[in-house]
Amino acid sequence: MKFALQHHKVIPSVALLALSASAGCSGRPSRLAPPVIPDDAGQQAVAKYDASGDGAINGDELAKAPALKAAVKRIDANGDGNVTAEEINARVAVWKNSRVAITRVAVKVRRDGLPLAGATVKLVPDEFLGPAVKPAQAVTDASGTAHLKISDDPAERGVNLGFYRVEVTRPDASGKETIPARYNTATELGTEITRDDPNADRLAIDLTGK
Amino acid sequence: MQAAREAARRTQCANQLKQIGLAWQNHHDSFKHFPTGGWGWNWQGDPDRGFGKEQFGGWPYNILPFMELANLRQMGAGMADPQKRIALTDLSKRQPEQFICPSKRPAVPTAPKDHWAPRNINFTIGQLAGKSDYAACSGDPAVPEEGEGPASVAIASSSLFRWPNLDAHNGVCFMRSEVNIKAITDGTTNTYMVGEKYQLPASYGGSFASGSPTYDFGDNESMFSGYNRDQHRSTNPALLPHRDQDGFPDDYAFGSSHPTAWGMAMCDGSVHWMSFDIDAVTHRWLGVINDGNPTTK
Repeated sequence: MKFALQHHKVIPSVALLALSASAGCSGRPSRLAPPVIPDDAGQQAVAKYDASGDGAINGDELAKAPALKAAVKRIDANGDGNVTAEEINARVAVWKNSRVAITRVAVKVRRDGLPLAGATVKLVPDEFLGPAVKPAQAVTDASGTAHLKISDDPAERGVNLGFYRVEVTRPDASGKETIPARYNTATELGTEITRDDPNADRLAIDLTGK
Repeated sequence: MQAAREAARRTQCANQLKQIGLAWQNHHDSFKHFPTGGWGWNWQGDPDRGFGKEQFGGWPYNILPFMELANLRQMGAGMADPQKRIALTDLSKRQPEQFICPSKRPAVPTAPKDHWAPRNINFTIGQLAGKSDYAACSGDPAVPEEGEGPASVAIASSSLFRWPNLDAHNGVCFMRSEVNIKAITDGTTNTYMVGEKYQLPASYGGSFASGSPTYDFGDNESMFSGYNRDQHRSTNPALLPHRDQDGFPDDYAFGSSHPTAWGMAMCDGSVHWMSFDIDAVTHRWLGVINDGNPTTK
């Protein structure tokens, strides 16, 4: 940072002695509480996506549930290709066990291989998680990157753990959407935000086509 | 009584930052650049690879000789590979007290992640590692980290190997950096060097298994490892510094366990208490060495 005017105060530093008066008495800030997800989230998911009525989400049904499809390797613990209510509830239990309210998710958007600035990325929680899990969003910077957040509230400057659809929009000056529907209104993108995968805090979105 | 104790600890924390700032200055005097950030989180410092971009280890490793800790920087020096791996494993378990904020936790080694196995040492599950509560400023990248580093020295030496693009890393120290004072065109007084890092209180005693409530990606390797968020933080405007709080892992941001401010050494070696109420734009440009932006403060 360079300073145009010399008389402007440079560093907002705080005197050591002035601070010490307020220290110590307040204790630690209390833990941020994670959103409460219903115990029957897995059953709700199966009710929603199991079109064939065989009791599990599988095959073409997964295409309708982008988040479950994106995370199927983690969810489908026994690897039989069927996502069951119990397996989904097991993932919810993993999130709960981490005791995380919000976490960091950095998204990087590329279109045809090049960073895309000015794109709005929205994480929409899957409805079966209930209303406590909140949507998060951000607009990408010049490098195509952004940190997703629920809001500017200090307790919401991040993302809840959960299953999300991902929507990317970037309307032109006339308001016409420039990104294909399969990335927004009919999105095929999904993700699981979790703490047991070291890569889950970075989301790479590569857009192709008109 | 408690307030007086915290005031004393905070003074000690500031003194440690002062000592670290001086060590960076002395490093610059000796090598004509500030300490390098090293290779990546899956590497640890090697005493026979100098102080420049070929050094695996990051800034805490490279300032050891200037912190009266040359004995640690010399561990394994001149040894054949098998013996050196053992010596460097011993090094990773050391916890120099100068790198731990006394308000935050006792200066004893704590658990890294349960699967940390750096390329050039023999660290195994269950062992404890030294950590740094202080992080160098990477500038304002969205993520102050660039992966684990190359798979081997041979691969890194290959003409086909490409290091990550580092354009977004515009601070005083990052992967393989050799930043000198002349490159800090915004002035050393107005540019961040090293400050306290944000951490989940639940992970102060060790990071253990990923996904567990004690896990913090910003404190899960040894302090002698290469470039990663354990030793680096960003001033990206989305990453506002705040006080350590459980439930919110925020491992790219500065922060501290102190109630209202975090300690920061500037590139001229001066130490300041920065308020958590700092303006996001001011904070951002204090982290970048050559943005040329005038302050609006």
